Amino acid sequence: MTDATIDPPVGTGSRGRRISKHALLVAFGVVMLYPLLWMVSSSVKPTELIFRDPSIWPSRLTLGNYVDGWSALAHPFHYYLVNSALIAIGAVIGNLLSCSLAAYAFARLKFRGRKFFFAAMLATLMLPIHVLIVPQYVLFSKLGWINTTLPLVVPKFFAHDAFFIFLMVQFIRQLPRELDEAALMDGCGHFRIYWRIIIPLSVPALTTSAIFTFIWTWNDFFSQLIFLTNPDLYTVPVALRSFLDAQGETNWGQLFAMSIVALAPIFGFFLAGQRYLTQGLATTGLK
Amino acid sequence: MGNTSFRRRLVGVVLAGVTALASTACGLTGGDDGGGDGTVQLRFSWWGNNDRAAATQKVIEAFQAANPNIRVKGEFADFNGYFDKLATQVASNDAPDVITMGGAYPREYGDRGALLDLSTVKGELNMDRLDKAALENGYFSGKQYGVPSGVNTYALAADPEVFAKAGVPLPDDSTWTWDDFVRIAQQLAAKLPEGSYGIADPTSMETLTIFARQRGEDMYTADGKLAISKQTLVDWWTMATGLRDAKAAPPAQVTAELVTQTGPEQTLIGRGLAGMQFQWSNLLTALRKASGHQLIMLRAPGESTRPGMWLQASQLYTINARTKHPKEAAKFVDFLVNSEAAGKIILIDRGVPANSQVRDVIQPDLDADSAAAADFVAKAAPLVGPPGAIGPTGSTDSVDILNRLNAEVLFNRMTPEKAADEFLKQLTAAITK
Amino acid sequence: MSDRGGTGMPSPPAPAPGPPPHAQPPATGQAPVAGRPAAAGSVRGRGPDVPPRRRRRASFARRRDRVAYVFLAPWFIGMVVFTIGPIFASLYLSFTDYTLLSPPKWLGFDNYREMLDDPRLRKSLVVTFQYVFVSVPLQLILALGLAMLLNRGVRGLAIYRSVFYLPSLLAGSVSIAILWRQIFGNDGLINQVLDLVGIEGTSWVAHPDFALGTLVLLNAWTFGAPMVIFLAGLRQIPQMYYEAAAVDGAGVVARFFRITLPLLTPVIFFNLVLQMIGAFQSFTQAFVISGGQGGPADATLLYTLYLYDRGFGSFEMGYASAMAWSLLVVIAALTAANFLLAKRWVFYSD
Repeated sequence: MTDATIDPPVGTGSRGRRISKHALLVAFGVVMLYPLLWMVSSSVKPTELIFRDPSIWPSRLTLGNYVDGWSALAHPFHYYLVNSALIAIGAVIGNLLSCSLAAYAFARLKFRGRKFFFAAMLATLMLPIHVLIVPQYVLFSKLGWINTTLPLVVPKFFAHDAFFIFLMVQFIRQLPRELDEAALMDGCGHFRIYWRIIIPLSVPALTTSAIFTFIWTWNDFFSQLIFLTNPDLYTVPVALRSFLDAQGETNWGQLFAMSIVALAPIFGFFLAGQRYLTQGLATTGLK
Repeated sequence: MGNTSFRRRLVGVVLAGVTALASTACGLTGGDDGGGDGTVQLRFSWWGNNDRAAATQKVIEAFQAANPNIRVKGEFADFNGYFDKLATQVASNDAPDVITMGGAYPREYGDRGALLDLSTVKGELNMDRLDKAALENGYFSGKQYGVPSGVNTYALAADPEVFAKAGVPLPDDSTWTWDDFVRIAQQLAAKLPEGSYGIADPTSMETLTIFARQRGEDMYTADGKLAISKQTLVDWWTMATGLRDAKAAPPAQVTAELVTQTGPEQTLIGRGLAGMQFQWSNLLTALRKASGHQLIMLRAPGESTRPGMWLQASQLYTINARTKHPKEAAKFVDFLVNSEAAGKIILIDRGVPANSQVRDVIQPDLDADSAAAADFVAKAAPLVGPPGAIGPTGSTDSVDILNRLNAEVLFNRMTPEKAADEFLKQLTAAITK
Repeated sequence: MSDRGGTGMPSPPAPAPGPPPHAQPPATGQAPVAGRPAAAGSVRGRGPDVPPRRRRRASFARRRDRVAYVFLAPWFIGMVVFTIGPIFASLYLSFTDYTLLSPPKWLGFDNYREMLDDPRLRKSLVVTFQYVFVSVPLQLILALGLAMLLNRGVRGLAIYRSVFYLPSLLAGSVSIAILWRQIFGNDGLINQVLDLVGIEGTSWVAHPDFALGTLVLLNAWTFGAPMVIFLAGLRQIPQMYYEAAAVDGAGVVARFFRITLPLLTPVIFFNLVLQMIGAFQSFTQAFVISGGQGGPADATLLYTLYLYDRGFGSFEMGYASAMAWSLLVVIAALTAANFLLAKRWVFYSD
């Protein structure tokens, strides 16, 4: 999983071709990113300007949108950020623990029914969440878990996100079995192998899983919409949407400012960990 | 080595996981119902903007000061998502103790057994002083399920500044007809700049009801069937599309964009972009504040033939049938509708108080905006028709049905005739389920 | 951009998750060799099976199974409680009338019959199919095209790749939905730009003819994730094929259609299946951009939106379950069709 297997060498080709290729790529990149850049620039423009001035360079700068938007909802915005963060962190811990356990079994242990269980695990990846959501909602409401964070976090501790099992299995398979065998010959039990050998070596896969889990949970609107009805528990996506409904026509500047704040953690992870993301992605696609 | 140590380690990991899980869950579980020291915790929900929330919070504090062993937690949302959320909460037995409702929702929930019969808490909640007509709005199937927060009426808000800018005189609201209305809207449109309109899109369940009642019909019959005729709907939509074509009303996509933005600040007249807009009278204050103009209320056109307007309980306070503290909840509702302290804070934001004593007490406190709204209700009250039939269960779907069909008509994807047929068909299906 | 929010599978705005093209366990390198003793210090006898040894091996196998099952316990419990259980409960509920306020009432096939007669359901199917079958090919074509461009070795490849990938990460968020709603709105950025060129735009998000198009564009914007996978796939094509073809005098176009495309078909298949499954479950963008209504006039009423409306808006949980199961069947059928058709056009070089 190094870059060498993924990045092609810098090519040759005529200078003209290379320049025009760069030009095309840059142009396309600008078009791709323009909406994002425009949102950032609009967040520092006064709201009236947003409707009149399509350029990225604000003729007037103001931080008012951030200041006012922060307190525009029932709670200051960091309240929602914390709610989202707690759930996301819980999800990350749950996923790392339960998915790595299952992945070790699938990747390293031979047991009766392994093929069958693995196929079943893969099949769940194709399940539309909507088949599960109604009965899950009923189950959680009977348990009294609606309006708590439990429905969002507990299933993660039971490897509900099978995708990460798959990701980690692919990774662990690439680790040399000799390490396991040596440890076994030394009399180590499987748990020790798992904890002392495989896990430390799987840090790249664990990191990828952690980052993806965090981002997906941070962005997850549907289940948070359904399971969190108390406004005090609102997470960032739900809070943003209620902001849009309540003040969308009149407060675009503040809305954009808070949207940027909401995206910041994702962007941060992207910058810091994009290697993990792209490599993790690529691994799932390769045989 | 082997199984025991393995199990021990596994247990250790699982414990760590459970602790992590528990700490996130504990940090964020929703409010529980009782304080440990004998204080009663109530939850109270309503819809509205931040100003209403601030005022309501003051009322809550006043109540808590007078009742030290009761704590009230307020929850509010904007109107658009309020009832969806309420549905979720009721279904998962997590609804607040005191719930603000409106329109046909009390019946919707009352008939399903979700609301408390208020006669059971008569001791704490005194309904004697409340306006009888308004109380009617909360009475059905033989039980009183809600008390009115106040009284208002559905009418037309007009912006004198916009009229002046267009050089059009304000109409005489005691005699004007729908033809006058269309003419005035067109006159406004001719003189207004791009982006401003004579009338915001007029189609809503309330305007249709007024229109129907003026013709001797109503929206629903007393026994819960549809009473509006196809011809009425066709005539209405023909008028509405005519207004749009004359550019007196906004083009279809502007209306479509605004459908989900329900706050007063987001409406056209709230932004100073319309000469007229159909609205509930108690929103006058908010609209004046948002637009910065001295808006006035006018009676609907066509009232002089036969009155179509009616007095409505603007909001109804209801109590969750499954509340653990019915008596305390009733006490709080009593405070909301009967106490002068609450009246002085809320003023007429939730309608003109249904308790006549409170109404008199707050009269001198009303600022110019609130006084204008209260005066309008007082002026219109003797001239309105009888209270309308409350929509039967399922009728709360009517708003969505109408919005969808209205979009179809405005975008010329359906003729008024087809839309009228569809409206009758779909709404009938909704209320007979 | 696939949106399968919920405790099941929080939507991966970026990568398309899912099974490998060949839905078998990763067979290579894992074939259990029967009888190979792995336990420490155990007898490696190759003699004839003596009952005590066989018993020991059998009990060893049981112990080994037990260990595996313990490792799998959390996943298995989760499967039963949060997945298998709900699937069957959902099936049961689909035959009932259930509003959560009172016990389920058995209806037989009434919900399904109602689905057949439901014009809004039909509309939502049309909208969803349009959305899937336009946005996924568009997205994949962009992904492949850009991957081809980048594959020839461009300086700053990593930067370009990041730039194109970033939207995939963000697109599932409410923030981007808000942005999209503004820029395609009546006074939004797109109209301002069109204004500069003299074209008068309408409100794209609020117009029944164009609203779905804005969602399609949003999904296409996320081509970065499949692009990364394509890049990895392109890297796997041995250079020598191209060199041999060049020697034979094959031009760029011929090289693409004779070498690149056939060898890339497994990856195309992978991306196709995943993006389709994801697109069918799309929810957040349509919900936020249309204000929850699927409007205007149901133009953006994706199937999942309608399901949410019936299930969590009107609390007709039975009907919503019937809809959910139907969705499952549709996705399963399409995926099966994909796999069957794959035999025709997917070319595995091994």
